[in-house]
Amino acid sequence: MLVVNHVSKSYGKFEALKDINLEFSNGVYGLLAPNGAGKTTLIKMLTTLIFPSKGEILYNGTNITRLGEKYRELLGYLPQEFGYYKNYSPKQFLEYIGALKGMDKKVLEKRIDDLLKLVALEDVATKKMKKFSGGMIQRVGIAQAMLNDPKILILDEPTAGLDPKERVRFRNLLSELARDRIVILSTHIVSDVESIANEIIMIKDKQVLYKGSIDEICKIIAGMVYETSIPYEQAAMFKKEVFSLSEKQEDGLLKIRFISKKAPEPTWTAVKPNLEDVFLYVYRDDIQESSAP
Amino acid sequence: MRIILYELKKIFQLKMVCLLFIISFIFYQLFINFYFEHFLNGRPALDLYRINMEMIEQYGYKMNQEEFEHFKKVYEKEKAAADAYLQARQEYVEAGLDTYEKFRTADTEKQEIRELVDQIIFVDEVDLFWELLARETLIKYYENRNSLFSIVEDHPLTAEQKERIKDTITSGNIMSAEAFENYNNLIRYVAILIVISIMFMISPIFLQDRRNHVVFLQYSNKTGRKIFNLKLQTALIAAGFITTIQLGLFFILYRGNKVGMFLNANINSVFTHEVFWFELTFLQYILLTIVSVYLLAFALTIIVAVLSNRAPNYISMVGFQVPLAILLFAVVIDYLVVRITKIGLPIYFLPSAYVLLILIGSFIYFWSVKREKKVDLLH
Repeated sequence: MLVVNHVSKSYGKFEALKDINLEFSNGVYGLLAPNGAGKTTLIKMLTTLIFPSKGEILYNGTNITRLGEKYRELLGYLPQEFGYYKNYSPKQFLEYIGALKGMDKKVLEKRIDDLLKLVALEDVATKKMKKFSGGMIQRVGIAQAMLNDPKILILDEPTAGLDPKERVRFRNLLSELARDRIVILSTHIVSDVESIANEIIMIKDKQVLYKGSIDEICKIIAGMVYETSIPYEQAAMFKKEVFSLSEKQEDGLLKIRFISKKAPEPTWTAVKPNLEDVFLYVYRDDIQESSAP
Repeated sequence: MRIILYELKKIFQLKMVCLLFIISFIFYQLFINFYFEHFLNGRPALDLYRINMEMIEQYGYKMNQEEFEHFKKVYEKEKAAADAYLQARQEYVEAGLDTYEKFRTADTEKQEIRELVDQIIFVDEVDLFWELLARETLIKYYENRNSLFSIVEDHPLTAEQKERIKDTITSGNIMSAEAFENYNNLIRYVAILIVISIMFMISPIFLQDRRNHVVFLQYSNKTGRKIFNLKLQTALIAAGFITTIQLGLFFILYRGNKVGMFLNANINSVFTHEVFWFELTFLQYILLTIVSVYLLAFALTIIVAVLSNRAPNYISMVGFQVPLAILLFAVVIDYLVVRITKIGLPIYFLPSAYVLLILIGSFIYFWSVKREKKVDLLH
């Protein structure tokens, strides 16, 4: 079990994360927050790239810094900015990463072949990566993270650059993998985690805001999410009174999904909240700030 | 070892090796080739060199007073031959140049006289006359050997310096100044080329990984931050390899200069007008410069590698290295490779300088390894 115990991280006077407490056992964990919320800081601490200013991270009761390579050999990590050598082929690159992971050469060869098949790159295994698309590169990244069959798989924005088909394949793959390991998936794309995560961790204001299953998280706004159709001319006024989640045109009217704490009106239909609704509601300030001109 | 091999492959990428080859080729053409093609550079350098060789053949590596008298007799004999040569030529007799002595002191301001002198020296290049000039120079060096007491100009001689000069003056050591100077010019440029090669090849060692963000993968894997130390070791191995190849190629070419006869000659000689703190043969001196070049290469490698780990981009990397290169070319190579053990510098300068260099190199090495173990990897 991986435990984050009262962890804070500061850079001088700037506090990036404050008193984080988390526990991870086997399963998929979706680390959900807008960009800049501190997801990557937390992930970098879990991967020993940075060290907590306060608190500790324990794996099976021992501090991961003390465990050193014993911890890191259990780790598979796909960074947000996945680094690779353009002039290497996927095979060469995975061989290099395998050497860094201290893997036996024969085991490594077999594992590389299997993984390249798994991420559908076997046909380009020996081609230089400089001509690869973003999706292909990301698949190499996923392969390298899984090279050592890690007990803890940490993926920072893993679906960036993948097309919809690849995303679905990737999610299925993660579900399969998560049976006997910890998978931590950091993303700001709700759909990436919605279908596969056992638990969602939401970070806001440098702290863990919510941690729980999707159903538990969705309860935050249960009974507050509605849909209705209104004429376009009323839209501006209506949106001042409610928090709009999504809008679309339907039969000449504006179909709007929204959150309201007021008593519902007869034309409103109560709907079951989903994770994206919670995300938009929880991070409404951040989203409005980032979309402001 | 497996990781070191991978890292070595990254340093010696085909593209980089080809570029290094081109850089080395251009550098050789511009600066080094001259000292191979023009060794010995004209006359009387060629004659001085030949006569130094003849002296070693006749007297061994040392010449005593008796042998010097013999040397002078040979000179007198050649002078007589020169007299005969001149007297056999009507135009020289008519111009009053019937003896070598008159030929040497002739007034070359006069057009006719100058033409006659030039005819023998530059047009016909009569060996006898060039040899006589060379012999005169060597005799002058020997007879004026006390002038060695003025080789240290910037401060009065210490008792130890006086002692070393006295030893050299009385030693009778025979060494070719041309061979010695030629080697010093060559090793200076070869050391500069090695510095450039190391800067060029080692600069990307960490920078490339940081720019590509591969460092996140390296540090989060089993090897972890040990990779930093392994990469530093790789840089040192690569620098050793580059230095060996560059020196190897240089010495293969240097064999063509055929200085073999002087390898066992003592470099402290009135003929080289050089005095060193230690009794070194030319071969020992060469070996000492090789050791110096290696030590310098390793110290430089550590500095370049650490800069590569800290510099934000290649432009900054070049910016950091330009003053370092200027310092090396203008001062360090001169003092730590070319002028090693000269008595103009204190006796303990060389060992102290190298001990300091090794200490600085080791300190930077261990400090950066220790720092890297704790540093937050943000970018």
